[in-house]
Amino acid sequence: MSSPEIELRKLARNLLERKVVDLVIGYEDSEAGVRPCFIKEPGEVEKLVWNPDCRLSLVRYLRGFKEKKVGIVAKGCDGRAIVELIKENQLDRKNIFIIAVECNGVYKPVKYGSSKTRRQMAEYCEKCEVRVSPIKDYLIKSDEKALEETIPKGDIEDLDWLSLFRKCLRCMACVRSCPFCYCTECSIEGFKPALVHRLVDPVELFTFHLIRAIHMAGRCVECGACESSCPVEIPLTRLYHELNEWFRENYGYVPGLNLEQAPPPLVFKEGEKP
Amino acid sequence: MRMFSITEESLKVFLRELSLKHVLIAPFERDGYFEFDVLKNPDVINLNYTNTRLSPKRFFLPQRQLVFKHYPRKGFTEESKEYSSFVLFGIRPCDASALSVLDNILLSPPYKDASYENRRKNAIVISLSCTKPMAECFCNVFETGPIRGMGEDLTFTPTRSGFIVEARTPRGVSVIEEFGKLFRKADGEMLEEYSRLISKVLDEMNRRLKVDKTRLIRIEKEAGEEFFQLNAQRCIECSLCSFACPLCYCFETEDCLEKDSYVRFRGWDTCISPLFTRMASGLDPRVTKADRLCHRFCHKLSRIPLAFNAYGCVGCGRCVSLCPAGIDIREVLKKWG
Repeated sequence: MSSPEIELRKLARNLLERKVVDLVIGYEDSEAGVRPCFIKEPGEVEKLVWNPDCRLSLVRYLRGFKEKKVGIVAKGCDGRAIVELIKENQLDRKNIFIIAVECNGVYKPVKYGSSKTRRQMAEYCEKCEVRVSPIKDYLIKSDEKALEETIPKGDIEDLDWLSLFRKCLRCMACVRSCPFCYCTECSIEGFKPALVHRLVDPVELFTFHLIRAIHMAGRCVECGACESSCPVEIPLTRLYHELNEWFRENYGYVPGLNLEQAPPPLVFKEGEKP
Repeated sequence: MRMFSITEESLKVFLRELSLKHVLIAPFERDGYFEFDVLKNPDVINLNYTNTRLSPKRFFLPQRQLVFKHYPRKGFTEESKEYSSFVLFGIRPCDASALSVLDNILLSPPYKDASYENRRKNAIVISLSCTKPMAECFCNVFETGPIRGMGEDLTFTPTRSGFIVEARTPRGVSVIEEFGKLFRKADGEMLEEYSRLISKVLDEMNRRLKVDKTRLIRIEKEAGEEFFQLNAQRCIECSLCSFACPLCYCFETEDCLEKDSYVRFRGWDTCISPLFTRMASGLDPRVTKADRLCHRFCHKLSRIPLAFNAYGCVGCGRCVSLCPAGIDIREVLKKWG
């Protein structure tokens, strides 16, 4: 057992015993792999783990506990997502205890029937510059080295997005795992009016992904929840990264770095070009 | 006996001739994963695969299909009833068994699914036995594998000296007869190896997970338990488990207008979605996530067995591996089985 794990369990026990939080959202190990867990009793803290398979962002679960004090295990990207959601009035800083864990990148998931056995670092982790959450109530330092970077880099222009989106099953895993997709009804699910006829045409799925991409621009923290959940491995974070870069160049804004800087779409400046 | 054998060289010839005479759908590798598609060149077929990431059910239940078109002046045109025949080569016994369960459900009168029936009638299904089951697999629980499945016409099993071929249906026998010169009667030694292989792989799987499937029917009465609440907290309500499942057959329809006609499409749906049971009045019989998750497991493990005398799960393990939140049907099996 690694030392961040021991520290994490000790902290969680302490928080729950002193009733600082009502529950701690963290990761546990299971036969099906590392998965989210919800610890309510101090006796359960031994379940908590921390390793490079702790992939899925836990921030999307905070929506379900709005009235409670929640402790959450947060990687750098997760912390950025929390910052951005606080700015969008979706979360209350008072109710969240952020257990920031220094992150050295996560593994790309090896899914059902893969012919590869070697574990590789996820591509989005390579681009990551924020290894520790920008806001935190407690910091757990990691003692491990960064994961090996082994993925060959390719240019975004080389990707054939239309054929990638044609593979899409519209299973909604990208939407449902995303910290920022908090709409009560998704554009792809609406019937009146039906913005996207989801059964009709693969091109409509392209529309759906464009709607999503535009909504992610300047908000996406590149946590990779969408990409790692995707059953057909559409490299969605590469698309959102490109949009974020555009946002950075044009507005000088990087999502989730501090609580003070307002997101450009939410502020109006006189003389600003549309 | 309907046991035959074929050497590896003859198998290559068999596949080549098959691809000339029929539309051949077989597994091949792409980007580190395996998938089924129509193949013109049988040389790319990879028989050393584990299983395809997504199930081959889309060849029988397409993700989206046209039901009908209505032209205001001309009237209805129904979906075309002509289906080209195809050969599905190399599906795993679990996925083949899923087809047999689907036959029970979708082809039992009076509610026959016409499009499924036509596709199924025109398909020759050839399965390839699993000799090295994956970590996620549990087909031993439902007796849908790993060597022999239920819904296939022919079963190919790799052995040291070529493949053992078992003809399971009259259609399978007719395929053997069509390519008669390539197949030989299996000799005693091979048959012995075959039965040894069945018990060896099954033993290996039974050591990992052994469940009495007949006890699973209890799950219906004991629903609403803490177990489902716990897993529901975890569930992110995507449709991945249903879409990856070789057996989930629920569908939805969508109407839309085209330039000169009105069309209805049908496509996959999932009971995990909150919109699945919500009615026009706003009433929803399954309100919470736990209700929906419980329904999914009850339907597969208790309601389908009671109504159709077959289990709604074949143990392929796709939902276990693909679920982003790590919800594991094997935990349900262990708890109630």
